[in-house]
Amino acid sequence: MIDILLYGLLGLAAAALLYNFIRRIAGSRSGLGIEGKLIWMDKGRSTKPFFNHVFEVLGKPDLMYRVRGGVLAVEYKSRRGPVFKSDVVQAKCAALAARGNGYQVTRLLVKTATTEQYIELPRADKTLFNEIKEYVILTRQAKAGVRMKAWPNVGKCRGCAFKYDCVHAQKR
Amino acid sequence: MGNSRKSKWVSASDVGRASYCPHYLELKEKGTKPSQQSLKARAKGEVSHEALNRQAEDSRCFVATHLYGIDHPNTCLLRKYRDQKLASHTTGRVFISVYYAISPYLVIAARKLPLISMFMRYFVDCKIRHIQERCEDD
Repeated sequence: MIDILLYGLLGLAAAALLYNFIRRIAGSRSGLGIEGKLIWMDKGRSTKPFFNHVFEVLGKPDLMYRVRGGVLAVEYKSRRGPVFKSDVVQAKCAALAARGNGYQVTRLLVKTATTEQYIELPRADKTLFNEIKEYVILTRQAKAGVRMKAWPNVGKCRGCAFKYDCVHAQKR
Repeated sequence: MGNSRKSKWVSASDVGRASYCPHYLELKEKGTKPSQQSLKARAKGEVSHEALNRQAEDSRCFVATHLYGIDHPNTCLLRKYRDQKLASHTTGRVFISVYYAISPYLVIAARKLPLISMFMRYFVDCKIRHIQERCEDD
């Protein structure tokens, strides 16, 4: 009787190992080298953004993959060079918006033409919102017509779309 | 009331810009026109995003692409065989999954060792002949 139980347990363990092995082999890998299944893609202006009605933010990541443990959102910047804080803030805000539509984004990949950075996101939406809260407030103030401070910097101003109309940029 | 509620909504790109330089948002709200240079950069960015989408959707035959090229008739034939024959039954779908898990590594190895490419070409050529014969019979 004990022999049968023992063999049964061994058989179960072997089956579990085999199952894990097959899952690892069959795990799909995308053209971007991400292990996961592509579940959502921003196809430009025709793709509607996600709305998070709790935090009143909207946005859309560039791509979303179903990965082990949740969803990976990809934010792509076509320029060369490092990942900036503003890229990460934008990606976090887009992830929060996607969470409002049921996509449990747990991880971010921010990618430029030359580099990439993975970021783990907090599980709670509130914690994620708190990480970008100060910039959400600033954005709301700007939309309400409040005068905003400039954070001039040679590199930033060089790439700014309004550098010819900005008095702060002209000082540099 | 409706307007004030509506105006609370903020977009991810604007929130990102607020962390870049809040004054940017003020100028945007005032209706300042973006520079020609930035408009060109934006257009270039859209093209890059399309390229990224193509790359993400990419599900080509890795081995056939390595051996013949992305748009070669043999690659197209194998792709058609995959989608029309293999994907229509369970065993075929399991084969496709295993193939996509292994083939990127096979291609990496083949790039380093041309002998592997020769072997692969021999087997894939045989398979293509077999598919063509079956197509002719049908």
